[in-house]
Amino acid sequence: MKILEIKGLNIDFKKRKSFINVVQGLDLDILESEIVGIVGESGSGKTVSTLALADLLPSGNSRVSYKSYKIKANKIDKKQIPYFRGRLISYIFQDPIPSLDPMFTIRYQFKEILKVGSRKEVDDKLMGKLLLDVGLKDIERVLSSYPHQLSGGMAQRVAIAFALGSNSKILVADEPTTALDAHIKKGILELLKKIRDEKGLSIFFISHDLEQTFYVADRVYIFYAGSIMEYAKSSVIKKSPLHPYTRALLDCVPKRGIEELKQIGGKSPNFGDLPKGCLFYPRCSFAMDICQKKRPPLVEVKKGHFLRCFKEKI
Amino acid sequence: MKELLQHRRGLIAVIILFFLYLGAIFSGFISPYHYRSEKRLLSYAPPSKIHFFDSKGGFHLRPFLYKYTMSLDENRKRVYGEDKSQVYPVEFFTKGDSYKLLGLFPADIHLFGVDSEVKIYLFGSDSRGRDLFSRIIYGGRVSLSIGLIAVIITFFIGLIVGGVAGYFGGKIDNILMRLCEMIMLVPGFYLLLALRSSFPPEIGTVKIYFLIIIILSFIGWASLARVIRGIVLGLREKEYVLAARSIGLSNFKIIIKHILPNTSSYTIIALTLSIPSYILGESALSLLGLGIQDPVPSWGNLLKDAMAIVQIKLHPWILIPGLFIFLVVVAFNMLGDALRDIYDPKRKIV
Amino acid sequence: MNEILEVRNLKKSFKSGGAFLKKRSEVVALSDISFNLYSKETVGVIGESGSGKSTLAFVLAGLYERDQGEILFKDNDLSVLYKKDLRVRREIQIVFQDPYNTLNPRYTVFDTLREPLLVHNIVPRKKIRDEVLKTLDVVGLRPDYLFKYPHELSGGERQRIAIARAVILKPELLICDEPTSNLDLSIQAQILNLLLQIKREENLSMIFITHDISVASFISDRIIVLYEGSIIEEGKSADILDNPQKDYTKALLKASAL
Repeated sequence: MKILEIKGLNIDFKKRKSFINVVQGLDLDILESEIVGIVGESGSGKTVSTLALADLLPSGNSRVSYKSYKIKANKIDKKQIPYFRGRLISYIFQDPIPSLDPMFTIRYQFKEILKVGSRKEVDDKLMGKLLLDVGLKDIERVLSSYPHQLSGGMAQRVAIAFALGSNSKILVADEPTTALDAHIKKGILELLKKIRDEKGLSIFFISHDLEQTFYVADRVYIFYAGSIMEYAKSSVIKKSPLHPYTRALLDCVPKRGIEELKQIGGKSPNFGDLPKGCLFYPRCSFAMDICQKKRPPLVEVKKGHFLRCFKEKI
Repeated sequence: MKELLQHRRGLIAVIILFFLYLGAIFSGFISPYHYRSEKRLLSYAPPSKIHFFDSKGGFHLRPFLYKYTMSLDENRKRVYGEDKSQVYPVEFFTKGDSYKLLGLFPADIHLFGVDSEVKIYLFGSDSRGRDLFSRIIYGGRVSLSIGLIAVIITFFIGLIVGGVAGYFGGKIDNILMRLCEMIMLVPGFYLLLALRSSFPPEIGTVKIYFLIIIILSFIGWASLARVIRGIVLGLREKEYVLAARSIGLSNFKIIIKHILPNTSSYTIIALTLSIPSYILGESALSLLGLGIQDPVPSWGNLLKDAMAIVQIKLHPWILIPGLFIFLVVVAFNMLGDALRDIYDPKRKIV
Repeated sequence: MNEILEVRNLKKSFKSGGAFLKKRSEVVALSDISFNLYSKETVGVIGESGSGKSTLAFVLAGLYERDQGEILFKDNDLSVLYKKDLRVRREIQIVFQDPYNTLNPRYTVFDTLREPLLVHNIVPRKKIRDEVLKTLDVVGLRPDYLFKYPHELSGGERQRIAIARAVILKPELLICDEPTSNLDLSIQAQILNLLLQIKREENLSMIFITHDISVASFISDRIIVLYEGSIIEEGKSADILDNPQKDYTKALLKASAL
């Protein structure tokens, strides 16, 4: 059932002449027909980790390695990864309109992508069906349009249709709703849930918005400074968030009636300059002495609920 | 600046240009002779041979020369040889023709030279026996400076016209851009010739010098203005420009402080790459006799002697000024390339 | 309560296209907008992309000229003020959406913050640095930020500088055009708190434009709902959220609630 599993992912980036470690010893996995949420601030390493899954990081500037990488329980080698791009793993990005080629119509680009998935008959009928699947209606108009002629929501649906069209089993959605208006976001989230259920797709949903992630994901990973701080089933974390960072993120959501939002003071650490102990120590309101000295390990504190924190009860 | 020196082509370019301009600034000191100093007897003498070993096989620490001997062969062509009877060492920091250091201070010390009995012609001599090496060094003053000054003038005109046209748009933009287009329509070189010809041919070196600068700037500013205008069109919608307007900053100050400085990554590169064409423009004018006149040397008019194939065959060293033109053009192109690499935001730090 | 801003029948269109043989088409951004802003209140303007909310902000900030209608700022015609009286630029200020383009990349923080003071000449030269440092403190940044360049700052920090630039002249009306839309949720919280704090301490009136209902409900006293250039509904925040009258508002609320 596990469609992808990566263990011990390490990512280093080149800065001037030396390499800085950004992600260390990361374990990620995803089941068929599951949405896994990855939540973190900008610069937490969430995008970079998922790009590494398809070996999409620039080879001159980065170093990627891992202990094991299994696709459908078969071990694969790094050299084999490019084959899976577009065939197994597809990506959709934050700003849908620039992620499509501005020079060509949707029809033209759709055809190109369908050919990669080696579909036999690539015609308007097939494309039309896929566009309907993602909730678009004016099919002829959409196919004949250029990306800048579509609205943000429509373009994102087109991007998802492209991913479906290439027969990918895994979709990495990197902040797919961030650039969209508030009332459009929900539609996209619903669409993702629908393709998980109807097409059995596995989706990595990357976001900085915990509330949206709870709405759409089955399991959630909380990322901070390149490490997983907490992970468990979505409903579990929502009910009892254990990590101080998770709790702080929940407190950030603006609601009416509160005088002041609880904000997280300070800012995320620079990767070249990480604190010795717990990465969240400088900003943590529950910090203890040990947190400054030692880095807590990721521990299964309850069944299926993993936590990287020394404090057991907050 | 640091990055420029770390870039391989940039470093080479900086070194070449440094020495060329150093030569131009200290031309009096570096060249052994004044550019006017003649010796008709040694017309078209080949480059002097520098020796360390004399005819008896003895080693001299100081390089030395022999005197030129000149004789006529059966076709009454000059044949040059060496009179090995006397050794004349090359002297450094020696007294020679007087000149004005930096154009102000009278001096007569030269970097190197020889006893006045002999001539040291590192690159040979021209038809009047003038040292080509000295004339090339002096020629650098004209060739290297005209391009630079003209480019600076082009820079100012192009920025102002482009900045105003792009920022204000509408009628002003229309008028200015049509003006640019009219200027750009005329082929540059012909415009150059036409403008120059509209002035009397002999009007004094200094006047010619400034005339060339003005003509070169006149043809150059239009294309720069057009590109600047395009960049400004994009910049004026940026939020920091809107913020400047909302603070109440005057339009003039907005253009000068916010808009134009942010065109610099294009401008610097464009200007660096246009200096070679200005240098070639002056060379072409001087070569045709419309630019700087003899006896004042410029690399262009030094090549006038080389216009006949026969001369090149007999005295190939008269092509050396061309080599210098080539060198400076290549250096500026490499500099432009390096700057472009450095300013490219997507450049991977190597 | 006195009105600090009265907008009556405001209309603004843009002409676009108009190539050699094509006709110029007109896009109506604002059609017949009327509302009041009372002193010291915060009005949230909610709308989707294309509703005209940014156009409204730019017209009020004097960056666009209105086509028709009247805008009175403290009983004076705003268009006339923007043309004739420099002082209005001190009294109305704006914070923009994109933190990555809101600061001149060649200006240090100090250059950016002292420019408004230099333009209006309200602070003697000797005191400029002190005033800048004071304002930096108001937005929660340490003095060592003074000589940093924008590329050395994060999105949230740049937005703080943008806010500092807006409040250094001590305006009466602050227009915020989606200032947190491009920021992470955790940074958004910081900026929203900062704006609320400044609003209280400096007694500002604020117009806050956003597409996000939860942000609008958090920060506004009253809410105006904008759709395709017209005001659909307006009222107290609580009323709009609990008791929306118009269908569009209802649909908007339903679609945004998770």
